[in-house]
Amino acid sequence: MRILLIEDDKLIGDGLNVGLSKLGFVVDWIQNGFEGKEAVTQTAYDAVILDIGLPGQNGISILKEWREDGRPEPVLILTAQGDVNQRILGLESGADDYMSKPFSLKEVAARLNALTRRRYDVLTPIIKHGDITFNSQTKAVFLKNKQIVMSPKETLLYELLLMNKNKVLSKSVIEQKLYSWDDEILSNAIEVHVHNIRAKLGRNAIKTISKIGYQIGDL
Amino acid sequence: MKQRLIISLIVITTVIWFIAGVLSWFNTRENLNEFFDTYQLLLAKQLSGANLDDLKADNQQRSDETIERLLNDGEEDDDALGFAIFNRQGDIVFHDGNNGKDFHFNQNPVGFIDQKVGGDKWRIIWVLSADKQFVVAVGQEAEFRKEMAFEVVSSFFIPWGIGLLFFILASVILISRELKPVKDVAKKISARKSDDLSPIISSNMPKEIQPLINAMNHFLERISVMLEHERSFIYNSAHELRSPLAALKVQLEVALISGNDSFTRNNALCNLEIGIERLSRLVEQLLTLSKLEGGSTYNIDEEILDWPQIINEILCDNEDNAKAKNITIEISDSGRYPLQHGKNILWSLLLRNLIDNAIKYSPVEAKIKIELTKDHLIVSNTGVKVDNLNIEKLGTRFFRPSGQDVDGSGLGLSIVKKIAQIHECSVDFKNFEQGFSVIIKNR
Repeated sequence: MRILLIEDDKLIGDGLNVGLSKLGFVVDWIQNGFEGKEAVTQTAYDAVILDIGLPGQNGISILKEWREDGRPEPVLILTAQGDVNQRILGLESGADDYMSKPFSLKEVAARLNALTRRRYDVLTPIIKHGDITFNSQTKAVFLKNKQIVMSPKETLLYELLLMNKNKVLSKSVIEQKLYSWDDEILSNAIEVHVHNIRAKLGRNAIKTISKIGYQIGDL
Repeated sequence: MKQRLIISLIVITTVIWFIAGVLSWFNTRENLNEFFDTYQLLLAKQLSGANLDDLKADNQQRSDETIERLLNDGEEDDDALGFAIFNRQGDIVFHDGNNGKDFHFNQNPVGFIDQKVGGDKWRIIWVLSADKQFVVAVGQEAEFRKEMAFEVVSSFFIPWGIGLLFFILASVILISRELKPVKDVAKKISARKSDDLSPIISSNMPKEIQPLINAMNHFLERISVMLEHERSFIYNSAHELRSPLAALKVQLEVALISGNDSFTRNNALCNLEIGIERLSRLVEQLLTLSKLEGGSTYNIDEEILDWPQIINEILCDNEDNAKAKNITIEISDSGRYPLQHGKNILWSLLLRNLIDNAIKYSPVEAKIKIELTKDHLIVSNTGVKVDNLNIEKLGTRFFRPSGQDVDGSGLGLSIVKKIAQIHECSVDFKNFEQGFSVIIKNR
């Protein structure tokens, strides 16, 4: 899942960036309101973490502009202003969730997972596909109840295809979801990941749609 | 107060009543003595002026008739008044038939003499008859006079006593009625919750108590403002502590989930250290501001300010930070200073905050100038200005202009303002052509 993080506090931003990446998210971190507002138009993010007190432009005003423009990205507001009125204002401005500082990194991850599941119409964190079970909360993959060890990128790719069950995802879309701006992407990186997933979960785990892209396999 | 007033009133009126009674007693005694003395004298004169030739016959048998003639009326108490007539040899020739017969002849028969008659004390006047052949003695029992005085005084005292009782009763009722609004207010104040600092409403309060109520309301208002200030300080402080705490928490969690990734873990631990330092600075600034705003009184006339020493200390403390950014600090010391007296430690703290800010927010190779004249202290820096919209907000607690790359608590300039205020100085923030300056003037 690719997340846009807009947070001006260096230590908090760095912690969320590194921590969420460790927990299997792809994070783009921006420290300025103006740049953050524009960044959401550049990439298809699965969710946005938005601070309120931002240099450049206030988080609430950014959110209002996004919603007026019809941007659908789920937004989790993360701010030091934790009183009820502020929460109400944030939610009424178009936020999907609200967390006060200090927060737990794992809770942020859990809420991001919940927000993205909703976006893909997945009701529970456990997604079953044939003999394969995927826990979107722990990012654990089981084949016939046996846990399969997968790399973070392989897990991300498999989760992405599972969430988009009836869609064919192009290579460029997959790349966008799997890599942040700072990552270097090898030209055959996606093919390698697909190959590895098939080796671990079976040939039919992922379907190749010729000249278009990939889709979750028919099991 | 009510009880004390009533008791005082009863004691004072009773004492006054008693003193008035004693004075009345003596006064009445004196007046009665004068009255009876005059009466005795007149009676003695009448007797001495009467035709006493009959008495030469020494015929006491006719005395009743004579007595009837000599005394104008017979209302006098026989026991209380008596007379006797003596010849010059001291023999009693005539008497009232009662106490008069016991009068002892007086050799020097002129004026009043107290004498024992039949064991009782009598006041007797001795007068010579017109022909100087007889001595007339008219006496009255002293006890009778006392009884009369007592009766007269008693006749006053009974209505006075009843009046006194009514007066005390009326006073108690009046005092209770007049003090009722005070009692009601006291009850209302006692029943108040500890956080209720609304003004005391006193519509029926006596005029004399109103200034006290006004003073109390003014005091409540000041407490209310102070409490609001404290609440807002605590709220803002707690709020400002959230971000550094969030930073510590998230970095700690990153360190915990790093597993074998030592690079990530070490990086998170370094960030934790930076976060702890940031939090410590914030707490230190909060404590400083809290102490300055805590109502402590500073005797600013006690110490002589050693400006060269203060400047020197600040320069030494900031030398490394300034060098790191290749910033030069220039001192312009005219030898005359805006203040002669004050707290050296507070001015040192003020300058430290200003120089620290100037170094933090100035670009590399900027110039900082500290200017001291008899009118002001100016700290200016080149290379950076403050947005005009934000200049007015500088010095407000926790205010930091947006878009800051440098860490800060937003309390430094609040501390500067507070220290200046303690020393009755003003603080102005101004942009100039090359940068920004803070001007502190003695009011």
